[in-house]
Amino acid sequence: MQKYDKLTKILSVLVITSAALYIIYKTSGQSEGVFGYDHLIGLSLPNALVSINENLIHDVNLNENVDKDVNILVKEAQDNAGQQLKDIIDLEEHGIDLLIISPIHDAAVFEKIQSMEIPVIVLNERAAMDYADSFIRYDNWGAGELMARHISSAKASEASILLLSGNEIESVSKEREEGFIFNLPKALRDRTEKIYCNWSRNEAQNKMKAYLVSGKQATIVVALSDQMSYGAYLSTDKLRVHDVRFYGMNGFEGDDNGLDLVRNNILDNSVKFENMYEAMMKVALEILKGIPHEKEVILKAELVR
Amino acid sequence: MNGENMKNKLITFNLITISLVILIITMTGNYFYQKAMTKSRLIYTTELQKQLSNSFLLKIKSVENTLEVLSKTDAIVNYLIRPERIDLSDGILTEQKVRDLFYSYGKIYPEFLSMVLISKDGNDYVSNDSYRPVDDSFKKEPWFNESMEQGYSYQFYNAIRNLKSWKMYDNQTFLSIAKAVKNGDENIGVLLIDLSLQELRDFYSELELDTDNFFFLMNDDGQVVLSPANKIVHRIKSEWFTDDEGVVRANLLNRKYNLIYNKYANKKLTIVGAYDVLKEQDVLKTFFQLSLSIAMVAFALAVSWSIFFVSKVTKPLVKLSSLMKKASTGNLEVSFDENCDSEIRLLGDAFNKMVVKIKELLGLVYEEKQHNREVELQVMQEQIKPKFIYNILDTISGMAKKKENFEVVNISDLMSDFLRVYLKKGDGVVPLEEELKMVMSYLEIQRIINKGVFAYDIACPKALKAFMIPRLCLQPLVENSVNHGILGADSEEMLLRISVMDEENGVTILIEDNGSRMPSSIMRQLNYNLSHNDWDEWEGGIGIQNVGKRLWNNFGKGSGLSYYINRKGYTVAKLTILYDEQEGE
Repeated sequence: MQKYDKLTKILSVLVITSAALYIIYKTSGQSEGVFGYDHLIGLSLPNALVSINENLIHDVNLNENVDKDVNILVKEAQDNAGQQLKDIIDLEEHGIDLLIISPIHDAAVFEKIQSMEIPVIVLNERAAMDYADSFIRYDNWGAGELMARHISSAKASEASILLLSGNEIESVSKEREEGFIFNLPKALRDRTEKIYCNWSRNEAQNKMKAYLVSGKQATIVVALSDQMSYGAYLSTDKLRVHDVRFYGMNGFEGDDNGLDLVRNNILDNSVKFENMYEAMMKVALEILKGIPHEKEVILKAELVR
Repeated sequence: MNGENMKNKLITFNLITISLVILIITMTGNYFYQKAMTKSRLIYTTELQKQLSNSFLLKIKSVENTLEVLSKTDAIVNYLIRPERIDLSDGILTEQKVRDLFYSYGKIYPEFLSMVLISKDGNDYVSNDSYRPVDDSFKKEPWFNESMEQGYSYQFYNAIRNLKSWKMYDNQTFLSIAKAVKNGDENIGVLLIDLSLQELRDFYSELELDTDNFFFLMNDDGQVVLSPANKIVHRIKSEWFTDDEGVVRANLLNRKYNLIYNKYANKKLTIVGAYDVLKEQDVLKTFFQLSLSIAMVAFALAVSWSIFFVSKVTKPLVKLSSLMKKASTGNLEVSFDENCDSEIRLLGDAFNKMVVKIKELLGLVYEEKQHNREVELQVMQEQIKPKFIYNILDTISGMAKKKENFEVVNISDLMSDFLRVYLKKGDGVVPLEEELKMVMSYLEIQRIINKGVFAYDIACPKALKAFMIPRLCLQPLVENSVNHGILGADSEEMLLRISVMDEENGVTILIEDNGSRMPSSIMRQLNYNLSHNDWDEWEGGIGIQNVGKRLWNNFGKGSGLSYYINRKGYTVAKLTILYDEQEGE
């Protein structure tokens, strides 16, 4: 019994000593504190002034304070592949957990995407989809088809069409263009002329001006973006050319954007899509949280009248 | 409480005391050190941030000054107030002057990435580098409107502004400072400079104390505008920095950071110093570990010393306790021989003395018991002997009577009478009469044995017969007179006379014989021995010695025995027996 008492006392001393040391050690730190963003996402875009990208940035800024656990770093490469590579490296250095990229059609960029050690979501550019954990795109072909069928059904059999496309390389331009051309009646297809405007309103405006000045005149201008269609409109308006109907695509909200232009009767129609930002964030969070996600997401197109 | 128990209690007490002292010292030491460190860090960081802020504001101020100077130049003003319908060549000339001005300033200030002058309607502009990708009026740009309305606009990198650079510096860190150009009280346009912050960014990068500690600058939109490239900075939320200054503890990528922030420039800029707590605590941890190590060593030393000291104190006590236990069970061969402190030594010595004393007492008790046993045996023998002797003597007497040998009958009866007194048990004193009777029996026996060669005479006043004298104090003296005086002489009328005389508080008994005289040297020696009760040198018989000692020890002053030759030439043994007055009474 005495031995037991002795043991108990010695153990008590040891326990008290250990507990006190543990408390000292623990209290030498401080409180738990606040928690930073759980997820850091890098968003690399080729050109911030192209409407689909501009709208995406707008949505990112709009939702900045919505998801408290996610921070998005936006980089714009000004259509320069070298710059986009630098952007990706810079984002990596900033410790992003996931990269969302709308890649410039460039082998070095694709290679870089392929070698990334973090998850990658590719937007728009089909050529890079195999390197991505998920690929999100607009239903570009469907948009072209919708627009073609609408124009065909508008009894525009005598019309001549000027198609303002983006550029020759990237898939968004190609798909919308092909979807449109493929679904046009042959007669209209034969009376369709195509001009590349690099998604630029100014370029569309300038090229439309040049087109009109050269003595040509189309009765329908179909642009693969609302902004290019608006640029063409501005030229025709400036040159007082009438009886031209304008169609665009993207259908974004905002001043001088597609829906606003339709409402103001500048554009006859536009095609809008499901929201890219929402789709992108849904897949991104699924990937980051380890939830099964879709490998390819297609944002459906809808004609806006 | 036994020794071990006391030892354990002392050690436990010391352990608790030492632990408490060491804990309190370590805990308070660490606490105050940490406080001092944190305070020092805060002061240092705030001062550094102040310097950073000042350098940044100085840079902005410098640009503002340049804008102020530029806005008053003729080239700028002339461009902005030129008539709507101007001659083409004049228009080109006016624009060229502005471009020349921008070129000159661009050479002087390489950090001016681009300079743009915009007309008040937002449609016309001149720049040394930038262009408008969308041909819209600048009135759609917030920074333009803000400048026109408020005089100045400050904007960090913005990807979607309608102004692009041919030099493609847009991806660099830059600050756009736009200022309204005035003509009198009227705003006639906006002058904009894109200021490169690369130099400051490099400076911020160089300010990294290590890979995990860094400074960064945040604008009032919560945008990180200057920071070194790292994986932490963009995980920080601007909403944490609510006050003008403060410290925020943040968990970033599973690490803890202390974010020390200060707001400057009307709270438009927040400079934050981010410190990895673990790194910061490394110093504290090192200090803590060091202090803990010292505490542990001190604890170990203190405990060792305590155990050693307690053991040293309690070890002799434990041993003493063990010896006491042994002694208590009867083992008195134990002895405490530890070399220890004086108090315990005294205790041990006392124990040793006690044991020795107990041993002595036990020896005495043993001897006493032994003696008692012997005495008892002797008494028993004495009880047996007289009876046996009396029976023998009675038998002899009876047999002699039958054969009518009356001489044998007489001697047997005398012998029996002698022995009855001689062997009688009882007190150390007997009445004088009884002693005289035994002496007479003895003398009669001697006379029969020696055919009546001597005569004897015993004279004792009747009043003195009851006087108590030491038992057997006369017989040895008489026997001595007979053996050495009477029987050793060659004379026909030998006499032995015993006379008793009254003394105050006693009697004097003279035993005289006219036999051989005692040699004077022996007599002198004997008288010395008797008068000093010193018998070391005495080689004679034990009878006189016994009588002398008994008188010396047991009777009053003046009692004693002495020998002398009287005037008639008799050898006289003078025996004086005196009682003290109280005793006699």
